[in-house]
Amino acid sequence: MTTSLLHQTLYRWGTTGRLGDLRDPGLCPVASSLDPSSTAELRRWHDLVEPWLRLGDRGVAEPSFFYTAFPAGTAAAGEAVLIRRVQPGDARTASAHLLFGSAGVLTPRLALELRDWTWAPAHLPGRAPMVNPTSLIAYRSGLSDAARTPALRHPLVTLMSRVLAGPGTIEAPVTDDTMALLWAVDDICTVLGSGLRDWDDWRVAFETNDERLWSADPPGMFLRFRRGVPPPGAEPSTRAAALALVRQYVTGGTNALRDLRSSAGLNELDTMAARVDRLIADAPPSAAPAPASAARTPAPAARTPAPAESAPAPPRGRGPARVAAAGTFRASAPSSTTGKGEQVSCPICLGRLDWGGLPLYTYDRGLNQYTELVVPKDANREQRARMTRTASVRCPNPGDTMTAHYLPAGYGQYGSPAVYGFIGGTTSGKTHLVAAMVAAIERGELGGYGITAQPVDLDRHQAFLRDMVRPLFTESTWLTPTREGEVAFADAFVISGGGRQRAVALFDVAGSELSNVGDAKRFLDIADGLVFVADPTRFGPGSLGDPSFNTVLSLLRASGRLSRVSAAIVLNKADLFKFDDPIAHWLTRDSAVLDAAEVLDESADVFGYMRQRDAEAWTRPYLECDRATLHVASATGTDAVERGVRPQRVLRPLVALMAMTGLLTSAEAKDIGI
Amino acid sequence: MNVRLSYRDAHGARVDAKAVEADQDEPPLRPPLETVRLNLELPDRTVAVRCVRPVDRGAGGLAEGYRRLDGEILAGLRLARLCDGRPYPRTVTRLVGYEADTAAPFALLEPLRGVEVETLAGTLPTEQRRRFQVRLLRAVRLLGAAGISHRGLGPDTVRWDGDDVQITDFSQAALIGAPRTVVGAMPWQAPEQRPETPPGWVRGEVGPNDDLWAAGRLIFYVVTGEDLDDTAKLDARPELAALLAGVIERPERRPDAQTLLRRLGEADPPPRPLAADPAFARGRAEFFAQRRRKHPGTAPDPESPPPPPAPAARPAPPRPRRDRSWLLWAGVAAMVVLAVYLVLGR
Repeated sequence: MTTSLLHQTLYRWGTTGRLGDLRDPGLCPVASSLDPSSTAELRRWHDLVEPWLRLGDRGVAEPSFFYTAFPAGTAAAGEAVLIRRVQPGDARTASAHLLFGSAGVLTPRLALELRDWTWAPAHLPGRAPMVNPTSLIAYRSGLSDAARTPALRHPLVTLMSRVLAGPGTIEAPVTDDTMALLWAVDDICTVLGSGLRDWDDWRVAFETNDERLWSADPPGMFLRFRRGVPPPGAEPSTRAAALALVRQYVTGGTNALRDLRSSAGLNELDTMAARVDRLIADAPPSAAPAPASAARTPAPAARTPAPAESAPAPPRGRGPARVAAAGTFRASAPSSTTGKGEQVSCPICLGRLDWGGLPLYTYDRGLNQYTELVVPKDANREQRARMTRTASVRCPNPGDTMTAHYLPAGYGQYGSPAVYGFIGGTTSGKTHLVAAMVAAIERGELGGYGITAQPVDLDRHQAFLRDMVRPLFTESTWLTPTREGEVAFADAFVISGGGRQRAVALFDVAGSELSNVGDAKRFLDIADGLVFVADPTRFGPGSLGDPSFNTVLSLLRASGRLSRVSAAIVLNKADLFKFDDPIAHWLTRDSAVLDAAEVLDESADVFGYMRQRDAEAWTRPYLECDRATLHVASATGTDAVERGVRPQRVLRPLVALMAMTGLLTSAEAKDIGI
Repeated sequence: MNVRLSYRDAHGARVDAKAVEADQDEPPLRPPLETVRLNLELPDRTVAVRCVRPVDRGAGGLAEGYRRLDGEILAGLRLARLCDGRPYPRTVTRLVGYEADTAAPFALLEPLRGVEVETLAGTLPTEQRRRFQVRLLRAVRLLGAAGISHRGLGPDTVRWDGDDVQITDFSQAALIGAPRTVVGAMPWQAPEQRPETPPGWVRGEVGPNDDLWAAGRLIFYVVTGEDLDDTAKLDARPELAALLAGVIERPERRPDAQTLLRRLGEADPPPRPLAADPAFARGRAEFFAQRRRKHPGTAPDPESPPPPPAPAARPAPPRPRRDRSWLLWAGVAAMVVLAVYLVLGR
């Protein structure tokens, strides 16, 4: 089973370590989270990474980061490693700190986010703990803003033109923008090809500051940055396509790239190579300058100012804004794009925000509320960066539809949130299902699937736990059904594990008559996935089904969004039918594994069971939505909650929905709901 | 103590009855389940039952008690369905009724018969041994047909009344196909149910032969009074060696109950396994048809028969139906000849 934890190993210069004595001095593993009772796994990893642990004669002051994911067919398929190598002087000063584990967890993005982590503490214990990327959230910072700076556009086009020329090693000079360039290349490649058959060849591997005269190249796409090497020239045959991609990326971020992917018909192609070929073929010829001018494209280290027409508008509130109080700064959110101010959807009020420049807040656990973040005036750059990484932004609440709510300061880099709604009659138990799902997420049960989740708004999350989860789970009391005519925000999480972080917002949609409710229609206009909660106590001959199912499907059809919304039909209250076939069978199976064949088998069984119980009307979402699954679940595990609430299989519909709506990008995830 | 009980019988019908607690003591169950003897006053008769209910004692407490009660009910309902409304064989404890979804759930079971075979180990009269073996194996075969595995067979859960066995305590029963869990107690615990499976064994899923491990050892135990902890012990018992060959093996290599019955010379046909509701099967087929409509490239229902080969493919072999048509025509011809003969003969 995939774990979301990463192993770590610390190497130091010497002749002895956990693998015994070396004949010649070199980097030796001296501490590791791997089981100390056996050296087999340590040896395996040492042999895997040894080519990239070799040292040069002279070091450099700055560390170098090496990252690669091992492709299918190799001994470490599905795993990835990040090496932070430090060698400020001769070889004796060298050390290296490795993180390694599932490539689904240790992505290029996570590797870049961890550049400022407090690496390799001096006294890492011999049996070091495993590393939980979620717990490092305070040390992780994205580079979305820097990556999309218009000034980076030309070096990025040059680099992307080499990338589009095909997998292989690309060398470029080290500059201050190395990390941002890598972030941008990873963003673009991930949107274009993550999860495709040939993704192993195109996933970005890198070395950020290689001073050695010789070092090994991992297979696939490898970007090596060296000091003093000449800047690469643009590849003429692919420059136009690179320019089109970079233009979209700088202007509209990954959302714009997704739109391009869709509008260019790339979604129908199942390899990255084919998608790149299509992009190259479709690139407007006028966008491609003559090779001679391409060769003069400024290198990353020597870029020239961007043309005036593409220069950024003055950033609103970038950097610390001075306040009257002496000795402190009021911090403000980093803008997601410095140029045009990216529009970001708030997952809570669903309003469109101009991200950037908003004042920052921090959650005071003692007061259980947000307070404005005040950074001491004498805080150095690193301290200030650390304080702002855990900060939040107060949503300006466009439309004034909700009370104050907050989003993580880094939210702008996550792209559009995935919006899920729970549909079902008042007695369907959907409010309990939402509560049971949030409780399971709170317990970390998504970790079994290799997914981590952090609440978007701690204040609201705590309120949901207090008002909905604890009464049900601690006090064993039934919850009040959603009031009619409401689309109520339940909770939102930042999800990672599918290659990149993305926000997921859960909404509890009121039962029965939705057609009279304007905000329900507005909600359906932006929903990505719907959980249709079926109440099996209402099945029977002659039943017309759940009115809310029918209303929602009619509204979606009217707006032309049926094909764009994925559906998970949940046969809730399964405990009441736990002795029926096939319910009894599925209630025994709840392993945290995303298995497309099992999901299909379960869907067929639930569909068959519904037909057997004269509940055809409840199967409509499967018939009408393009991607759909059916599940057996019980939000409470019993109709007598005084016996204690024990939810069964509540996360499975949510994980299936994440797969169907693109949050999970594994090959298995692509088959879910088809 | 008199109470009104409302419950469902094994076929789902709602029953209300007066229940009177009997003076007779019941052999206690291991917590977290307990039992009391009740006399149910039905409109046409009074029946004695054991009322089994969870209790907040023992490992796992009430939550485990609820789970075990569900095991009892699940087994009883499946056996009742298997026998299609008729009383199912008395080789397994019959479920009289149940209430599973209330704050105080319970199951009503037929009273115990006979004695635990623990008391008969090595002393069962010779003339009863073969009958015991046949009845036990038929009971195990019945469980398999109902799609369940008992998972706790042993000298304290199998009883003998001189004529028939009675398998009791289905609290650990599981559906065949469910993921295997650690259950049972040594030495009757099959290796696949132990906390540490032997090297090379996989935990896997509950299979139809899981109960054969304990049943085989129980047969040896009842005859010899000894635990079959070493297959060399079979050397001195050639008749048991022949009967139990392969039983102490991995589940996929174990003989099934029908094979062991055949070794005993019992060749009666096995019960027909519990079949899926035809409406369910039609619903599943409809699911795959709808799936193909939405996603034309997907596979058809894996459980439906494969379509006949396309005409462009290689010629299909002659079908048996065509042979039968020749027989039909031959019969018609014979009848015509016979009619002509009768007419002319007259």
